Amino acid sequence: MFSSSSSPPWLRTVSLGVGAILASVFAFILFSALAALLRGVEWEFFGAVWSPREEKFGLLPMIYGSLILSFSALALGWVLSLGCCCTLRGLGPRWLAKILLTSLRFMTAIPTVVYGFAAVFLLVPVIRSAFGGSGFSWLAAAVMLALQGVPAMTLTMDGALQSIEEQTSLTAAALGLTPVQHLTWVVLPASKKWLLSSALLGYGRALGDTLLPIMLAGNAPQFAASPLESLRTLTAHIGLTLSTGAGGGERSSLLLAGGLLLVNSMIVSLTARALAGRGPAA
Amino acid sequence: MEFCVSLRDLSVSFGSRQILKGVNVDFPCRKVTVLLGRSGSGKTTLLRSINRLNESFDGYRGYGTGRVFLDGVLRPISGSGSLPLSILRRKVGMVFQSPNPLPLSIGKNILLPLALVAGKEGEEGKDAMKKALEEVGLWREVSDRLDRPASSLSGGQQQRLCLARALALTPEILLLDEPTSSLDRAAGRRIEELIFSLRERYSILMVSHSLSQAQRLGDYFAILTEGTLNGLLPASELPHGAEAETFIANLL
Amino acid sequence: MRKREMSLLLLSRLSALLVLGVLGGLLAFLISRGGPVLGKELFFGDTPPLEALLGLRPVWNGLWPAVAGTLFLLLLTMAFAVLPGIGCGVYLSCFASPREKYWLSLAVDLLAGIPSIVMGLFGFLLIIFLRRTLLPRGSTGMLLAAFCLALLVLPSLIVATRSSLEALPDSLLLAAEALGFSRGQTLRHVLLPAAGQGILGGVMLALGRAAEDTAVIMLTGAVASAGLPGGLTSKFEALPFAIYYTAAQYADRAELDRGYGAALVLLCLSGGLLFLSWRLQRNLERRWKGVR
Repeated sequence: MFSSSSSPPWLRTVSLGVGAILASVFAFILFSALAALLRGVEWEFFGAVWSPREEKFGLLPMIYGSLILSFSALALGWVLSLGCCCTLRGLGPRWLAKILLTSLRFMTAIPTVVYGFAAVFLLVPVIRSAFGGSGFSWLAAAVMLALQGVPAMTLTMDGALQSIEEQTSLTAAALGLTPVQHLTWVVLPASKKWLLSSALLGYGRALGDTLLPIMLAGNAPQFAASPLESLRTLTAHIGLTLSTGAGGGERSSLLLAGGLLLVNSMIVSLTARALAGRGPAA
Repeated sequence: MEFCVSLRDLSVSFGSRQILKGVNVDFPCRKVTVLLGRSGSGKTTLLRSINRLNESFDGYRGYGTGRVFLDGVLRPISGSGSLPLSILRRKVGMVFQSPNPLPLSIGKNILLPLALVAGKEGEEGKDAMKKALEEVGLWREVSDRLDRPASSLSGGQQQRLCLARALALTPEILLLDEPTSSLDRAAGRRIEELIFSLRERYSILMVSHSLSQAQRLGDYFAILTEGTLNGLLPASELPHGAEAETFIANLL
Repeated sequence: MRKREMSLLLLSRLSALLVLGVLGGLLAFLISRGGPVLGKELFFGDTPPLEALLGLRPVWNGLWPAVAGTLFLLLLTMAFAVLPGIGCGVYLSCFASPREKYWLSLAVDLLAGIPSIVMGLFGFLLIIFLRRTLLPRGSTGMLLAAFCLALLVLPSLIVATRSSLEALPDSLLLAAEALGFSRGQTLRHVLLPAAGQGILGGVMLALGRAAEDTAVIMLTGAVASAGLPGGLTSKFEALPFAIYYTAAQYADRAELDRGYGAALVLLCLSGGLLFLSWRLQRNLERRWKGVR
């Protein structure tokens, strides 16, 4: 609207200060992670065994846990979101769409820790009695992460689909397409980009979440092969190990885990920006 | 005179605004009828009442009777004895004011409606697409890039694609809503020539904003004033040249 | 071709019912277990409420310290975040040069994606760094937690401010300029009041995020029992941490019941904040729809 020279000087200072602080947060974390990596060559951070007593600080089980948990939660959540979005966009009766939209908006307000708390006493016993074991498992965490991710993904998809639908509905009607055909064959194929970017959003959130994995996944640093086994994510690893006040190799491995998470979230954000088509200013 | 559409006491309103107030008219078969009128006089609404597109808008209410002559049978546009909506819209093709390709590839724009509405898939669909694209003179321009997005075409090409899309569904009646108004002069001429070449085979109802275009193309004229219309004027009864303008201006 | 339509229809009905069913079950469970516990005793235990509120007597078996901790934390977080957040949003939408806009919005986007545990880790590293350099006696506590939470919610404040301002019709700006207002006057007397509700909505949204976040505070000073917040640098209790802690470490039935109560209270708090934010932003939209 105006030019930068007309800005009140304090406003410019504040904004550029915010920018500087943000940049230093990134730099600080990345630098610490790098330093930890260089210092801890003998600790084999990318090894497969985490056993502080034997001085083995391999992060691989946690990286594996983070990845399989977030991808499985994403797959489940994304499909659910697509279905919900179709209901909102006219595949379901109007009353159902209304209830669903209100519920999804409400779900965005549910604190993660509340999801986790309810699942510990509701979902985990169900898994325990159905499949045996402790119930604290990959499955429990994945189900809750998927559910938690649904509102944001659905609402993102819905926004994009709605605008495409509005642009094309008259044309499709004039050609004799029913609303269901319109949605299936025109709107969905045309919104591929948005379906993809909602998946990206869901992935970023699932991988970055701490509370659900820490409360539900059992936290064993191992390579879980079945959904009923326990696993530990990078986020849960940071939360668990830091609060025990550990030092040395353990501390360094945490810094590296934080750096990995940060790099991952940066890649996700940058890809999302590129998808949204916001290039550098001319 | 044989007619393709017959409207009696047709009134349409959206919410509290009445757009059409008792329209009585019979549109002739296999002729070009041009609808003239000031903006806001209800031309577009009249066209859209023939393929029931008004029903897509909030607050629509319609009264009166409308009948269409399709497949050799005269039937009501809506209500009992009418054709199913998707068949009506296949038989009554429409081209809009500004080109509106679907956000799909060039080929899909024609193949998809063919498959979904006319049930023509595979080779049959491709043949129908080729025929339609040839009919509008677009085949040679796009045959090697059917999988590119339709939005990569120029405005005039897009409008011809939209016309081909309507033609591919083998309509009997074509509704053209100011089909050249968003195009440049040359592209507009191209569309006009196409319409002229289609006049023998289709019943064409066309809204135009240009008097000279109406005179070049129209066999009949219908003049809408504030939502009412009574009868048609044959082109032969229209004075020529500058006189025509004052004549029409008086009618409006 | 009908197959794809049918399977989509099936999927849509199934997912809608599944999501609604699970949500309904979850809420019913929380309300049925937490509802009966709600009351004076949940917050204050057997301490007289007035004395507990005034801080005269400590509360041992109630949520009051956690509630007070969370409210205090929110206050402190907003003290850190509101001015830079709104200022940065205003600057981005009104004054920034294209280059500044590009880099600032990139930083904001990147920050918005940071997992909150990483922000907590940052806080932890920061205090270690400070102990080695400037503050040998620094420790994790309320101030550090609020600072990290402020960083976490900054993006939502900035984005809400920016989009509220950018949603205003151009005619408003032109009208003010035509009256001879200066840039600062236009901003202060025309644009900011017009976008005020949207910005306030953003503040509510940020409050909601700060209130529910657990990962940051668990690395920066939240503990299970600390009593009422004692000062800016002391350890503190907070609702979300209390819930997390109860789920893992509850000792008896009474503690578990308090956990359900806490979950319900936190749900109401963040639900209420979100509802307020939604209402405010919708008001703004309605107000300017006619003008645009």
